[in-house]
Amino acid sequence: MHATPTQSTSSPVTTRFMAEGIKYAVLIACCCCIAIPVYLMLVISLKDTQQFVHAPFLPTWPLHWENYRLGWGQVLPFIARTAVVAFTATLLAVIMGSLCAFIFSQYEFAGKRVAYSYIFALMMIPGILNLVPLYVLVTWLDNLLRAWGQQAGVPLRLLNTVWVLILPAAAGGQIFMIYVLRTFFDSQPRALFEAARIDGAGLLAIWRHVALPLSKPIIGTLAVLNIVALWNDYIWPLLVLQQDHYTVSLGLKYLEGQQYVQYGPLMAGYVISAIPLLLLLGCTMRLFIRGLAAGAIKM
Amino acid sequence: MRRWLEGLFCLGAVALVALVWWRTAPREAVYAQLTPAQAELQRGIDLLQGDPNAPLDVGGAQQHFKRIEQMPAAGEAERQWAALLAGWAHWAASPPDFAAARRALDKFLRQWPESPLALQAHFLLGLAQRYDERQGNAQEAVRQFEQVVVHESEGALAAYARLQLATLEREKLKRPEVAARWYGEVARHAGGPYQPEERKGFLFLAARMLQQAGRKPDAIATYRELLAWEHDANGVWTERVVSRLDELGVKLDPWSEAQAEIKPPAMTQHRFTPDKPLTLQVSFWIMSKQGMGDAIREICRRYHARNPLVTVQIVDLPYGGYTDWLQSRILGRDLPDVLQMDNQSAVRYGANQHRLLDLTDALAQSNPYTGQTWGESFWPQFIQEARDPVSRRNYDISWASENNAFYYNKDAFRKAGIVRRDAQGQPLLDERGKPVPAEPETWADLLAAYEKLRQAGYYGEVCEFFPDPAPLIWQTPYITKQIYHGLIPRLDVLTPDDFPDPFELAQAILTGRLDLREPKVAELWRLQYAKSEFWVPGCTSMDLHEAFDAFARGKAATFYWVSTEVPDFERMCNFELGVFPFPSLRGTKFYDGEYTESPALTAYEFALPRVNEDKGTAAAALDFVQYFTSPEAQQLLIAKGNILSPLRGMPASPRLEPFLRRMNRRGTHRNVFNPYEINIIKEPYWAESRAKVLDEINSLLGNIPNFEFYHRATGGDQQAYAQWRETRFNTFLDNLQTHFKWACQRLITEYSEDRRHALRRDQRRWLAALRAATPGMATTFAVPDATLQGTTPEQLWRIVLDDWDVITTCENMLPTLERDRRAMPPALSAQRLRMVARSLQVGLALAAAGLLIGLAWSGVARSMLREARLWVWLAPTLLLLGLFSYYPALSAIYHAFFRWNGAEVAEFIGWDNFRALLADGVLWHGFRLALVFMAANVLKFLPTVAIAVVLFHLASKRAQYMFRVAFVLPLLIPWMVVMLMWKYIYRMDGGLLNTLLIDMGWLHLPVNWLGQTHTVVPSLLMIGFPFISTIGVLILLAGLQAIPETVFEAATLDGCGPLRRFWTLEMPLIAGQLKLNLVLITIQTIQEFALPLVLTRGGPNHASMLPGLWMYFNAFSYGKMGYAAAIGVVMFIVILGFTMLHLRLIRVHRD
Repeated sequence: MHATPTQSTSSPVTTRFMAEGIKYAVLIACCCCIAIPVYLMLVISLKDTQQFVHAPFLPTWPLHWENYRLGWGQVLPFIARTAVVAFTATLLAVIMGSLCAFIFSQYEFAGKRVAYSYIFALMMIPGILNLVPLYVLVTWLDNLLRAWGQQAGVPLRLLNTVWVLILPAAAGGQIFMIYVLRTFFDSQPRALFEAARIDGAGLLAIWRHVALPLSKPIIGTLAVLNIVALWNDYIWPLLVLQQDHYTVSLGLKYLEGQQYVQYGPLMAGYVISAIPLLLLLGCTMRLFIRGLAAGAIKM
Repeated sequence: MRRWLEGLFCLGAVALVALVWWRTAPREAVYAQLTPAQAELQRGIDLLQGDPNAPLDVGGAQQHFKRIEQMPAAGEAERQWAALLAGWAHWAASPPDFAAARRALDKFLRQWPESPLALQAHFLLGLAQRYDERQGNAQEAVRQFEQVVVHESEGALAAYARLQLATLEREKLKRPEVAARWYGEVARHAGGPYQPEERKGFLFLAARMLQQAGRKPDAIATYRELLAWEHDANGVWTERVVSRLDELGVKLDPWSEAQAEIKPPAMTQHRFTPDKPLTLQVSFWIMSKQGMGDAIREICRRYHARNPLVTVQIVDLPYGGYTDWLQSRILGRDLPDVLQMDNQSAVRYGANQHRLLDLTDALAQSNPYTGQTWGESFWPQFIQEARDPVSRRNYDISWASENNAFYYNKDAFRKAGIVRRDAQGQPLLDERGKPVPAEPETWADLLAAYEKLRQAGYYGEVCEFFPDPAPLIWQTPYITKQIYHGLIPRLDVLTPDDFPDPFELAQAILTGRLDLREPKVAELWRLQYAKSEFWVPGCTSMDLHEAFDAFARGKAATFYWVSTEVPDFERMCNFELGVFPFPSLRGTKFYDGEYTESPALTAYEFALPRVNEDKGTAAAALDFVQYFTSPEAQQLLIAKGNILSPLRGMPASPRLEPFLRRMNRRGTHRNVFNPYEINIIKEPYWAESRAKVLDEINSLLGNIPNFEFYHRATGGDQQAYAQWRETRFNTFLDNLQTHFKWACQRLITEYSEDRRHALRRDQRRWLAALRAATPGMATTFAVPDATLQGTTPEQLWRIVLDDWDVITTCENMLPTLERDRRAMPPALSAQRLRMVARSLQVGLALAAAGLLIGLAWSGVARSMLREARLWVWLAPTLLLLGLFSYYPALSAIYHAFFRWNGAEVAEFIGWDNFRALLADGVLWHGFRLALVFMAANVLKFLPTVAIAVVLFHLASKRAQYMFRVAFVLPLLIPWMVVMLMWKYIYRMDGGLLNTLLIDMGWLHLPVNWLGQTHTVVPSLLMIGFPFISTIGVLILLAGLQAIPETVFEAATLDGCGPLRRFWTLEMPLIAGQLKLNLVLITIQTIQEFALPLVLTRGGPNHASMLPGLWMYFNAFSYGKMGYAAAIGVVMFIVILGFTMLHLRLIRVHRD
């Protein structure tokens, strides 16, 4: 079938216009769906109890900004603690992980294969298998520390401190990083590193001045992902923390589980607890996307 | 240099093996220090007592004891011990060899009739006769126990012997008169091992026996003696005695027997002074209740002011999740010093797991803040209800109670015309000139009021159903008290104490003596079912917040709730709030008589964890609890928290007037039981069956119970509706009966099995205590047992006897076949087990040594030295991973073969966990569910692909960037917020989804999305709609952008349409990534369990119980760590399969 000349000039434009329109419609619809919980959160966070009971979904006036003051007071300790845990653990994991990956990639030594398999095999062990014994191990370590502390007169603890979250996270977070970064370093031209080595730079210097800058986007992406994962961790903190040391996930569940919930301040708390991640990603968005493009979790 | 290092590695390897070999070898060094006879004895004792986690090695021990007999040099003490232990070992073995035990003990007694151990031997011999179901001789047993009483008439052992005699005479020899004598002796023997309340029970039994024997005057005298023992009319025995006396022709008003007026004691000047200042942590879940929180803070402040050396720190926890928190704390032994804890948990952790301090003795002593006996300052029912029904010990103590009533909306009642009228039919007016609502007095009034309310546009009642249908459950005692009184004599069969205890109920249900379908028993649910017609539709899925919202919004006119929340309710309702008590059942079918007494909900209790003893805070914690239950503190709780005090003579808060109207603490039918509650607290089977029962209640009372909705949904008429209701009710009863039968069966099997394991430990502790307590009896080589802490053998006898009683009671209820299976010896004999364990340990050491040597040989050792700078940087990672990843994984695999509670109990049970796992329906359902989740999650990846492609083809790069940012949004909101928002969207009443669907006319009735078995899984799967994974979009987009522009241009020139272009160009280019992502998703899905944990806790009825969650519950809720580890291992194997696939894909992708 041949199209008539008139159609042949106008049709592609219309189709293209239509196609673009459909694309936009799909994207906007998806955005709306994504936005529903966010919308609810924002709207309810500005209501008092009466407004919430009578019109939960639509905005109502007057707006109760004092909910944010209440919510802020409630979630701030949770946020601060979680931030400490997520950043420290990620920092430790990044430093140790990138160093290991760098060594595995750039040095030849006996036992390298053994050591690397030792790490890599852990990718196959599910976290869920470890949960119970890890808990038992941590309580055992805690008792040990307390006994030592008593002898030395220092209040040493492990349970109910940030370290009980940081240490296992720093250990477990490395596995994936080592794997990805090693692959990345392997794919880089060896000459880069050789040149530094010929210049007489030591292991740490090469790592610090060549490897790290080279892998900055990837490390950034991995770090952000790690932080987000730790930010959302629920089970492990639930087991090892007491209420006065709650993290964000636990704290929010805690507020929601009260016998009398005031939804306004609760939702305000939700909104506030989303801000740190918003800031984090806002600042590192470009790095993050570049890292993804560079194959951070491409494998 | 190199040789030197390798040598060092090899040396280390050899040392390791040697060390393990030596550590696991018998304790030859210890034996060498003893005389040959002592060494033989110690060898035997070590085989019996050495490892509490291994079965007794009776055969091995007997050989050593025999050798002592033949030793000319053996001393008298060793011979006696050897002979006694020979008997004991047969008795304590599993299964016991009673005949052999009897022979050995007979021999012992013939040889050393005057031995200091003779008393124990007589007692053991008596037990070996009594518990031997096949060849035991009751007469013989009686003779032995009488010997004990003759030898020592005052001690604890004599008291036990008397009770044994009484039971034997009653059960086996059927001589009620003799039994009465023995019961009387135990009862009247003050200062013995039995508590006053228990002795009252024995006296009651004595009177019952006399009555049975036809000795009327003696029986009456004994009953009267018991009445005199009861200090007031609230004693639990008063009513039973009065009704028994009634049978004997003695008419009594129970209340004339009571003391006149009870006044609370005055406060003393007591001060608690510890050695050094200390901080006491007290955990509460109640602090968010306004008045209660204030009162508690004030009490803690005053306590500190009185006792300046003790600072009280309140640990404020939410109500939801408190139990989870407590469970993990208890496992970690990291607990506050005082816990608010309900008595079911207290029993579970107290008696069954020895994690809590036993308060029974403290209750018998005085409370220093009042100078009065602590226990006697309580209404007896509070002590009674907080007691473990089996061991009869108190592991917790009540500090406040509350009553329930119907809160109601006075305005709604007025609008519906339910008002009180004078003789002329004019409404009575209150002081503000408004009509006085007519509060329903009887059940008929209540239903009539609901009917009028319905016509006025109100629903009658709203019930909170999640996590429990609490109001409904709280109403049941009122109903059962009024209609089940007459059932008691029929069910009270094991011990004739006029109270069907949990075992008796279980037996009645198992043998069919009690059928939950018989009309009288089913009446409870029939009444509730009739009422449910007026309920807010779908309230069976509401939690407290939703239910309360429905009441506060004026949708429902009544709400059954607790008295302590009057102020909170008043604050939140903008209508006039009224309260009326639970109506009388006068006029209903099976009404047994009026009842006017509080249900004594022991709502708030304290328990003290055992770790306090190690922390040195036990005394302070007890002191704090005693202050909390002193009049001063109670006064505060009454004034601010609106509680009913568990202390005698304390006045009630004036605000509770409506709750108290029918509760003058005087009345009949206090002796109540509820056939629907079998309170042997044994997780998880009781929890499991309880969940099933709740689900039945849900399905009966939920889903369109009223005609209007029935008609709208099906178009049926009134007759069809009535028929439909009846059918549903009968199905409900059938299911209930099935569930209860199943529960009783599982309960008894599990309970006796657990007790068997406990018995093994308790018997060993008894042996250790006996050795420590017998002077001059070879104590030189007794190894002190740290867990005993001054416990006497007499105290342990009681525990052992309790264990035995429970085991025999349970097993007599089980069919013979089952019993025989249980009596089978453990899979591995003690010797074999020891050998296996040792070879395993040595084998592991050898493997480790082999690894070391291998490393040395392959040059790794050398490399470590030469490349030390590399290994130094690798070391932290390797060590951390070893500690936090490898060790736990290996430990999980190891413990999958153990009965393990995460702490001291770690008994090797071979493949038993895996066998149990094969038969575990919940787990297999979980795996099927995981498959569904996996498939769904794979499908849920499609939108991500679509969006990435659409985004890639957007003409405007600017728009592309904007949308890309928009899709990052879901990543930013904390996961928990997303979960809780979805929970809110799925709310039944007023949730976004239901509101939308009903407004659009797509739904007639609100749907309980997360609360029904058939909607919960789809609802969970829809969470996160439209399932756009931020990371996924970004990765795929990056992948697409990496495709050279020219490829697309060429394709467009070739006339490719968008679809064809997608399949021929884009799809192959991103296929590798897709595959990887999908495998990753499947691996993550199998492990998923936080989602159902947060939203549904695996419910309803295990419908959303993913395998990971089931493992979590087994480990942290049920204390079955070993079983949980076995589930973990199975999941590991499944995941391993997927990971292998994953790795293959990576390789393919790389190539």
